[in-house]
This record gives sequence, C-alpha cells and structure tokens, in this order.
Amino acid sequence: MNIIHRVERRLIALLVIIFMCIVGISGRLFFVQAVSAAKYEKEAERQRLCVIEIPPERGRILDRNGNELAVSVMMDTIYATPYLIEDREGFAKKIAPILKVDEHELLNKLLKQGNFTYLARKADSQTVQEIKKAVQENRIKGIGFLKESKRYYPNQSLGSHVLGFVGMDNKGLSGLEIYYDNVLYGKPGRIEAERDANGKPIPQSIQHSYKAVDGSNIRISIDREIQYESEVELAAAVQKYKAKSGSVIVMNPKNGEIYAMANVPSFDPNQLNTINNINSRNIAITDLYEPGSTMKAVIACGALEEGLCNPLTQFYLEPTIQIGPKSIKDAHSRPAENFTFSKIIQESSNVGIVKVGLMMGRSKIDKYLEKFGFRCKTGVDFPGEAKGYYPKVDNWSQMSLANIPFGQGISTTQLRMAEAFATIANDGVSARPHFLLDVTDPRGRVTQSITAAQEEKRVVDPKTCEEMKSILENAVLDGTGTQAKVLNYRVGGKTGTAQKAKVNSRGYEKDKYVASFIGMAPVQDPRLIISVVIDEPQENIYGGSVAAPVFSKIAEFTLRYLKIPPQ
Amino acid sequence: MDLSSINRKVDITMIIVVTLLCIYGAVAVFSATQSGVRGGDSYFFLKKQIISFVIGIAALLLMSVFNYNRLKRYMIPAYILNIALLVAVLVIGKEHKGAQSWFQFGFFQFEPAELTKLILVVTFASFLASRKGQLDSMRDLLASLAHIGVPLLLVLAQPDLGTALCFLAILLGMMLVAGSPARHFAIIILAGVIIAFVGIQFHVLKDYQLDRLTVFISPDNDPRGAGYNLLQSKIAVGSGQLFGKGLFSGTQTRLQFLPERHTDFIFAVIGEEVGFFGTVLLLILLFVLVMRGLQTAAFSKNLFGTLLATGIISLWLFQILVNAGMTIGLMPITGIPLPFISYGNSALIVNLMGVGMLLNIYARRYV
Repeated sequence: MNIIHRVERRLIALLVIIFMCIVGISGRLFFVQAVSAAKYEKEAERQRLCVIEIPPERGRILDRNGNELAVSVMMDTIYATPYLIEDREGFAKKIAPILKVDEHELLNKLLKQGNFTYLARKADSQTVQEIKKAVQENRIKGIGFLKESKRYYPNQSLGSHVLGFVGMDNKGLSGLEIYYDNVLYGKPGRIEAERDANGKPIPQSIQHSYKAVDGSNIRISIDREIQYESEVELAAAVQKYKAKSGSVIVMNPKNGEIYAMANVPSFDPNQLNTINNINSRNIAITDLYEPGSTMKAVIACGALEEGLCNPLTQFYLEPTIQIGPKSIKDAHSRPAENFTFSKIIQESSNVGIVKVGLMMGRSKIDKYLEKFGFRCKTGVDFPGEAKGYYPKVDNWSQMSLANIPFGQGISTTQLRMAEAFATIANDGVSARPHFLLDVTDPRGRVTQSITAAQEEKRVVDPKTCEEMKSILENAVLDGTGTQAKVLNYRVGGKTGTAQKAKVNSRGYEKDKYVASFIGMAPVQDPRLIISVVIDEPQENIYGGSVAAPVFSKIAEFTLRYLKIPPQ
Repeated sequence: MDLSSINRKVDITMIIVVTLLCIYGAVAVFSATQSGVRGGDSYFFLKKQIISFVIGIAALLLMSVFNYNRLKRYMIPAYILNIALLVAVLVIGKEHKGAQSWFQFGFFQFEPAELTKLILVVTFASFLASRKGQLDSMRDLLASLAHIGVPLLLVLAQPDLGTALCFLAILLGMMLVAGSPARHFAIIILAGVIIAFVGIQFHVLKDYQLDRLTVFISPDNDPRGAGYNLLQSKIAVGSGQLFGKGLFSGTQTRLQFLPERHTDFIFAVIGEEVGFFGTVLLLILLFVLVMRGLQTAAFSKNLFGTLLATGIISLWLFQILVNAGMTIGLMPITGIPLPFISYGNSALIVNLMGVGMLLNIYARRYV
C-alpha cells in the first residue's frame, strides 16, 4: 500500500479524535456552565459569604401585674480571631488560666477555627476584666468582645416550671420559654460579608446588613405573690410528709387564667447545670395520675344532671359491696346504714358512689367523662401537656364500671381535674385554662391580647352546679374536708386519697398513695379553684389531712390578697 | 510580494491564532495573579510571561528558518541531549511540590521536561521516518517503546506523571499516523492497564498521585483533601455561567478559593470570568491551531515533516484535553499546563518553538 495514501487515512483518524475531544469538552462545559450553573453559583456564594449573626434581645416575661419574671441582661462574650494571633501557643498559655480552661483544648480550637472562635460566652465581669488587663499588658492581638443577651430570672426558682429556661443561644428549651419562643426570641440581624479562602473577611465588601428585631414581651396570668405563697405552702407540706413530689394549681374558674402553678421538686433556671429531668417537669400538666375520690364530684354531677337523684335521695349502704371478684369498702369501716346522696360525697363513700355508678350505667358515666373532657387535652398554652386515659366504654369490665366513679382505672392530669371543678364552680361552663394575657412588641404596642375567656363551652346545667356546690361546701363543713376550712369564707371541695397503680404490672401498690384536694372559694361566687396534689406522703396518707390544709392556707392568703369580700 | 504569495510561504492563520492565544493567556494570567501576589507586584507574573513570549518569538524564528529536514541527522545527539537533561535535573534540579523538575538560572526557572517533549517529537519522528512505514513487526513496536520508554522512566523518577503521560500521547499520536497496525495499540493499552494495576498494587504511585487521579470520579468524597481542587475548579467554572462574572472580577479567583490559578487551573479562571462564551472562544482558537497543524501534517510531502507536525499537535491536543477536562471533572487532575495559556516560561518558549517548526514544515511542504 502506498505510504502517502495510508498516512492520509491515518490523519483523518487523527482529525476524528481531535473533533471528539473538542466536542467532548464543549459539551461538558455547556453542562457545567449552563445546565447546572445555578448550583455552582449558589455553592460559590455560600463559600465566599460569611454571615455574622447579630442576636436579638429576648423579650421579657412579666406576671399579670407587670412584675418581671424573666429578663434579658447584656453580658460580655469573649471571642478570638485566630488568624490575627501571631503566636497561638503563647496566646493559649496566657489566656487559658484566666478562662480556667485546658491550654491544649484552647490551642486546638485556635488552630482549627481560623476565622472566629468563642473563648467564653456571657462571661462574668471578673473574667472580662482580667482578660482586658492581659490584653493591654501583653499587647495580645486577636481578642474581641461582643455583647450578648443572657436570660436572667430575678426571682430564681419562682415559677420556674411554668417559665422554663433557655439555652446558651437564647432559644427556649422548656416551659413558656419554648412555647412562646417565636414571640420572645425576635429576629436575629445579620451582616453578610465576603471572605477569602483563608476565612478573612474583606472589610470593604460588606454587602448587606440587617438589624436585629428584639423579641416581644409577654404578660402571663401568673401572680407573683400567689405563686410565692403556693410554693411556700406546698414545699412545707411536701417536707412535712416526706412526700416524693407535689403540685398546686390556683386558677380563676371564670376565665381559665392560671394564677399560680407550683411543683416540688423545683429548680433555679439561672443555674443550667443543676437542671435535670426530675426537677424540671411541670408535673401538674405533663404527668398523669389517678385522681381518686375527687372524681366522685364529676360522677355526682352526672347523676344530678340526669335527674336520677337529688341531694337528699336515700341510699342503703352495706359495709361492703361485691363487684365481680372484688369487694369494695369505704376508707373507714362503718356498719350498714342509710346515706343521703349528699352524704355519699361528703363522707367520700366508695360503696355509695359505686351504687350511684351502677344506677347510672356505663354509657351515662362515659357521657359525663366525655363532657368534662377527660378524653382530651385542656389545650393549655404549655408544651408537653399529657392526655388523660381510660378504656373505651365498650371495653369496660364490670370492675371499670365500679372503679371509675371513685377515680381508679382512669388517669388524667391535675390541670384537667382542676378544670372540671372550675366548670362546676363556673355554673357548668368550662373556660380553657391558659397562661398568656398579652404580647407587647419592643416598641410597647400590644400585638396580641387574650381578654375574655376563650372557647367557653356549656357542660352541665347551672342548677346541677348549684346543688353540687352546696354538696362540696358540706364536705368541708361536715365531711372529709374539714381541714380545708377558711376563716370567714365559705369554701367547698373534695378530698382524694388514691392508691397508686403499679407502674409495670396490674393492681395497686400497698402503701403508696396520692393525697389530694380540689376546692373552690368563695362557694357563693367562686373566684378561685385551688388544686393540691401530694404524691406519696409518709405517715399520713389522707387527702383530708395532707392536702386540705395546704388548700386552706393558700386560699386564705389569696382571698385576702385579691380583696375578695368574705361571706 | 502580494498577500497570496506570502500566504503560500507563511501560515498566516496559524500566526494570528497563536498571537491571539498568547494575548488571551497573558490576560488570564494577569487576572489570576491579582490577589495573593508575592512582593506586592501585581505585574510580576505578567512581566515574566511577556519576557518568555519575546524569547519564545526569537526561538520560533530560529526554528522556522533552516530546513527542518536537517534535524533528522541530529537524531542521536538530540536523543542523548534529551536523556542528559533528564538525568541532570534529577541530580542537580530544584525540588518543587514534591517533584524534582527545575533548573534555576537566576531570574528564570527552566523546566527541562517541557523541552524534552519537543526533542522527543523530533527524535521519534526521525526514528519512525527512517523506517519508511515498515512498522508491522513486534520488533518495530519494541523499538518504538524503548525510544519513548527511557525518557519516560526518567520523568517518572522526578516524579512528573503529567509529562510522562504527554510522552505517551506523543507515542500514540505519531504511531497512529506513521501507520502502526491496530494490534500494536491493543498491546500498548493492555500493557498500560497491567502497569497501572501493578503500580497501584505495589505503591509505585505516591498516594497523593493516586488520589488526584481517581478523585475526579467522586470529588465530594474528600472535599477538603484531594477533591478540593476539583470542587473549587468546578464551582469557579460553573458559577461563571454563560457570560462570566467579568474580567478581573471572578470571586472564586480573586478570593483565592481556586488553587493553582495561573498555572494548572487557568482554564477555570477563564471559565469564571468570561463564562461559557469565553471558554468556547478559547476552544475554537485551540481547535483552529490544532487543525492548522493537522493541515500542515497533511500537506507535507515528506513523511518526516508529517510525523513532526503530528507529534506537535498530538502533544498539544493531549494537553488541551487533559487540562480543560480536569477543570470540569472530565479528566483526572495531573499537572499538565494548557498550551499558550497557562503561566509557565519554559512551556511558552517551547510551544512557540513548536509553532516555529510547524511554520517551517508549512513553508517547505512542497519539498
């Protein structure tokens, strides 16, 4: 074959290769620069823009009278710009002892984060002074200070379970701090600047700067004085009876405003390191319990509303009553005798309420549990509210029918139980319990206001409530709740002494009880609902003697404090 | 002399294209070296590149005046010179980024690898031409491989993988045009696979080399390490979009996110600052350059001339493909510069010498 001819053919092959290379590169270029260009553009922007966030000042939480419960104070935060530091080892050696941190850890931080690293956030003033002195004396470069707002609770542990607390970044972590976080936090501002590959910001290149919008203040229904009184009395009772825990709710039955909500054990939200899972729970809302005899008031309400009996209807009560395999008796043994309907509640007779329950039948009991809301949450503005539980009516055993009327085999929250009493106190109309009263923006304008009670709902007839209130008053005057009496005021209420259900098996603990009392004052026009629950009291277990005195003291204080006229 | 008679003697298109490419490159280098410059002289690299261009033009003229066929006679001394250069750089060269590849002559650094590519083209063209198309036997293949193999092993010893791959491109391109049978290519490819496998298995390749070679397949695996260069390069090119961010205003270049801006990744600088249209314009210029070289190879009535031209364009084509390809994730990352565009004194001078040779062959195409 002719050499020249062959070479020509080979050159054509080379031409094809050249062509393929050029087309391949162009094609890929089109893909990178046109088809997916937006992706790379975004990536480029992300790389070179450094965003410095300016935290807003968190809004305050005020009590109903405008007293500060949670405030923000400006603190100094110390940071370093490591690339400005010439001798990082020497820097770490000098600074670490002042900050009381490990020298190697500090050095590591300085080496890893070239652009910005915190040295101490929201440091105390002494540390700040010492650092400032060291910077001046040793001419240290690369240290900066910025102001950051820190949450401070001026009343320490007062109302801590309701308020909750915030983390180092000023974001709410529990309680109302988290529930109203978006209102309280505000909107952070930011500065967007270009930076180079070494992380150095380029001073002339500031592109956008947005001012921070401070958070709004909220005013809540808690009253600092009532809260304080409740916490003191509760703590005293828990200590006296060596109880495991306890809670108190004080609320206004007319509009659902919660004046006080106290729990023991408690915590100081200023000291984040002392907070744990046990002392920070607002158990009045987040935990379930079996209410025991306080439930009898709800069942009695149903019986009256249905017209099955009136307060004077006579019941013949044997000492015990046999339901299925179990024999039910009253807390204190007594001979067989006649009780009026009213006396069954006053004396908290289990045998009596079982008879009432049998008379009503399961569907009517279920109807009133449903009406009083035991199947759902109250909808209180608080995170983590628990939802009560009891079996569906079709699944009730004979025992359920007998147990539920005296508050066994049904679990609910303390708040729900208090709300049921509030409904009775409020002539059969329920008002959703709540904390928030109003929201005020940083310029002082009210942006949201909860004035009247919302979502009012009629549950039972006013006449039924009138009868029920006098029964509850009698329980205090001449029944299980005599220790709840308040001098010069007419009060009513119901005691509860509930065996605790076993946690991981069927049946009840032998010697663990929940002692409780829920009452209203003054009975003729109730302005207060006070619920006291003491978990596992020792020595004395009865609601009438453990919880009722706490009610009495808190009620006495609060009635006078609110200038509610006696009688 | 009228224009057409000049055109018969001198490849005007080639001269225009090469001039445009050099200007394009100088502007790109200038833009790429505006930030993070040493000594604060932002014209430092541009000045050196212009000086190289002037020297390169002199070398170009030198390479185009004599009858290139005389080069055939100097095959053996040229080959020995080539080997000597490569040995010398191993012995007394300066080390840079882990590779021993420089001679320092005062102000200038000289990278012999660039020159050896051109010398290799000349000696291999003489070698193949002397066989007059008799390349069918196994002995011919082994002789060709030996011719390329010795300098190839020497550059690998620096180690300079990029130049070694350029040698292979020269070998394949010239063997293709010289008329080697298809089975020889098959043998070379098979051998390549085996050597690569052995190289990886026995860690002949340094880890960083292997990383660079394989990372283009999935750069996101190691975005701060081996994948960093490629990722940054793709971000720069991609964010340039169709029309670019404007000359001297590429943010990724300016803010030094893009590594090796004025050398290996100059194509990404162009991609960022003048966009898709800028890169396509550059590719068209390079395409015309290679096509003129191919025409020169085709017009030459002389096998030595054809092979010489083929070697030069194979070298350029390979460098263009790998350099442009690596910035956009099409090719592995190897330190191969973009001809006429990347900053590099030796490379620019040697490439202009190559242009001189092509002009020489073009002028004597009827001889």
